[in-house]
Amino acid sequence: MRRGILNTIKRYYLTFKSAKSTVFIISVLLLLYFTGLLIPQKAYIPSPQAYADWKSNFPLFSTVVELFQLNEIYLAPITIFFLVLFFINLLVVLGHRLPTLLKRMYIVPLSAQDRIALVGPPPDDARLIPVPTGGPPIDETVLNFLKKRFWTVVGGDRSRSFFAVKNRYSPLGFLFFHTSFLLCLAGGLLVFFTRFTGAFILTEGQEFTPEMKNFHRIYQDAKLMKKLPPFSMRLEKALPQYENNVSTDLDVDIALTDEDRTETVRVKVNQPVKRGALSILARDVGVAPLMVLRDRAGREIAGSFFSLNVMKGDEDSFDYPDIPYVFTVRFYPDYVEREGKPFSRSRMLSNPVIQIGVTKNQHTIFAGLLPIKHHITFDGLTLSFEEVRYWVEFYVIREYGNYALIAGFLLGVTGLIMRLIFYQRTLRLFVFEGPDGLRLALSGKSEYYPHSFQHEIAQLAESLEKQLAQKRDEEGGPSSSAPLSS
Amino acid sequence: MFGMEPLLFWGSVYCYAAVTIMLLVGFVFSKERMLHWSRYVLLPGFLMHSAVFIYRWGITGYFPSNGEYENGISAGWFAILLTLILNYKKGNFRAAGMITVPVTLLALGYGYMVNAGGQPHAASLKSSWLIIHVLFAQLAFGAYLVASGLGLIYVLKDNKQRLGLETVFYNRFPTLPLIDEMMFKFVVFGFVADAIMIAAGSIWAKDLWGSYWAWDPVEVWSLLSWLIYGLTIHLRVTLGWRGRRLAWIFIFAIIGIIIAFWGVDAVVKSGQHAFGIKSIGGKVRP
Repeated sequence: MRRGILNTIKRYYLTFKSAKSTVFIISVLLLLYFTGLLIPQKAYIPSPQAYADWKSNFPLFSTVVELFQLNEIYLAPITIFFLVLFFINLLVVLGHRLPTLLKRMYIVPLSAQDRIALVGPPPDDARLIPVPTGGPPIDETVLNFLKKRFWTVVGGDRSRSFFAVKNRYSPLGFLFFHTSFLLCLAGGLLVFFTRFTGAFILTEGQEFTPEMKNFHRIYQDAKLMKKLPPFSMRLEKALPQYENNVSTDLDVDIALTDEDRTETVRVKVNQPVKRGALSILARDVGVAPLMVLRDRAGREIAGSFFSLNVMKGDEDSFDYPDIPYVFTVRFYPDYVEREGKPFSRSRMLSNPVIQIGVTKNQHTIFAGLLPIKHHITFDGLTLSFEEVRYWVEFYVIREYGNYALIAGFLLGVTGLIMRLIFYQRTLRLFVFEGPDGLRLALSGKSEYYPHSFQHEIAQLAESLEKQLAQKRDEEGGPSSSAPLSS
Repeated sequence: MFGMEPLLFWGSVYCYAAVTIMLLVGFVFSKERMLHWSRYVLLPGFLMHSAVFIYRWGITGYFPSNGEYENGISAGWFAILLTLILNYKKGNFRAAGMITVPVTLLALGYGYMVNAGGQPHAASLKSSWLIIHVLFAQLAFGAYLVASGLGLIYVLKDNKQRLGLETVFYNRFPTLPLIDEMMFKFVVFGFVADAIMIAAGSIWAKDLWGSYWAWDPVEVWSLLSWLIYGLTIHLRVTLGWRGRRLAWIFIFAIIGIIIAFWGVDAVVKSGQHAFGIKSIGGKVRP
């Protein structure tokens, strides 16, 4: 029984450690992510109505898609399943490769194979450098030569045989790169379970405290650590800048109270306010005109700033509670009349004018233009456009796990650079007695580019030969009559 | 376009068009001289291209990456720069331009058609991460494009050898193992640059949109492309894939990068990488 379980574990272990498993799992993930580009994803369907329309237009297809959650493919069970396999594969491969990594960093003594390679006959591709009999010892020259070129001697007797390695710790890159995925997973899971994203809108002068009812939309509620840190804020001022209807800047000043300390901070696009795990982003901006309704006697019946979605020329509407009028609005921030029609020269609030329609019981009873500081009259009531302020939509995001994610990114990139750019090469040099006298055989291996490495070996051999000759000349040793390196 | 820009832009476009024709003729009719002379036309084209790149940067005050035209200018610049380096350092690799030059030519043409005029610099693009993110994206694009060109040379040369039709023309190119190594080097370079691009983009997205990753179509295409190249590295390093099979993958893998750069924006207008500040409705009573 126990043996059976052990055999099963061993079988799975062997399956997961194979490179083919890795290729298979990554290929399936690739396919799943690609599917996400072909099948409309729920998150990108603009409205529930559009989704309902799509379902009714493709009943069979949508049933299959919904059954396998292919329209939420990035979190669908099948994707999660393969992601789990991916991480199991990663862990198994890491565990399996660790002893090899230590060996390849030459922390453990040289293998028997490497030791034999330092005494045996030179391999066919070895470069042979003449070493004069009775000349000065070559050890110091060779060691200095290698050190200068960032080769570390890790084996050999260091007088007549040398085993050198360049980028000795490059195999660590494998560990770093693969561990980075685990860090990203840890960070990602922390973010997923602790992330709260809520949106709210403030008009200039308005305050906010983070009670749930004050958010106009909660995009994601935290699954763990639900309590938000205490803070409150007041929108002091918002100043968007536009150029050819493109938002080119947004300065939002807020008075932020955090741990009994209030300070005015500026939020910009790309520059959220951060307080520990909490970030406050300015995501959108619009105008909120102050519209006051008065009766015949001039008494105020109702008045409010209405945050309207009208900056792109769209129509929006507002109403007052218990008052049977609906007001439709088009907004011209920089109004001019062009060919008899209202037109806005820019999105800057230079000359704000509202094109307003008043409907009662779905009948239009007034339509016209309403400049700022003016009013209109209908049914014996007056509606005045007294002021205009900006509103800003803020996102409050609270999440943990950022440090793990950033560490994962850094470790991943470092690992890649170590592994792929600073890849490992090894050199074997040893003196042997050949038919033409003493020779220093120089050969080596490169992890990735064996053909290009041959050029590097040739250059090394040439330089080393020159240095040995120079040393010999300096110390007046016997000259060798043997031919130069092959 | 500003000032001298049209003159320089069209100068480089005509040079690249000429180089494309020379490379085509060179390859199709095995005219070594055409390939040889193509570099002397490519260089002035690149110099004018560089002038457009620098001029645009100087005039707008930001790294050219705002819209298709500027992306074409900067991405193409890196691709041609890498091609030229390869050309002058290893002359027999010059045919890599067979892919890089026409793709750059098309990117420039498409960009010019879509939005060659100066566009206001959107608030969302005003970030120090822009340079890091876009620079590495374009370095990756350039490297992958060169790898794709080398893949093409590999396949063409290999075809001739398989058919026993070795000609003087193809013998002037490097040996197949050397081409194989060189294309892998460019893939490795692109892969590392791509990883930096994705990491930098994620960090930037956190400040801009509030989350590191949103499965936006451009993000997914970038991830797909990165995974494809990662897979090829894995296939080579651990499973020993070499030569022709990888060359074919490199020739076609560039499509994913081109889609991420230009294709998604042309089709999907609602993705986050459209870089607009959206507007929402709502009523608030202070």
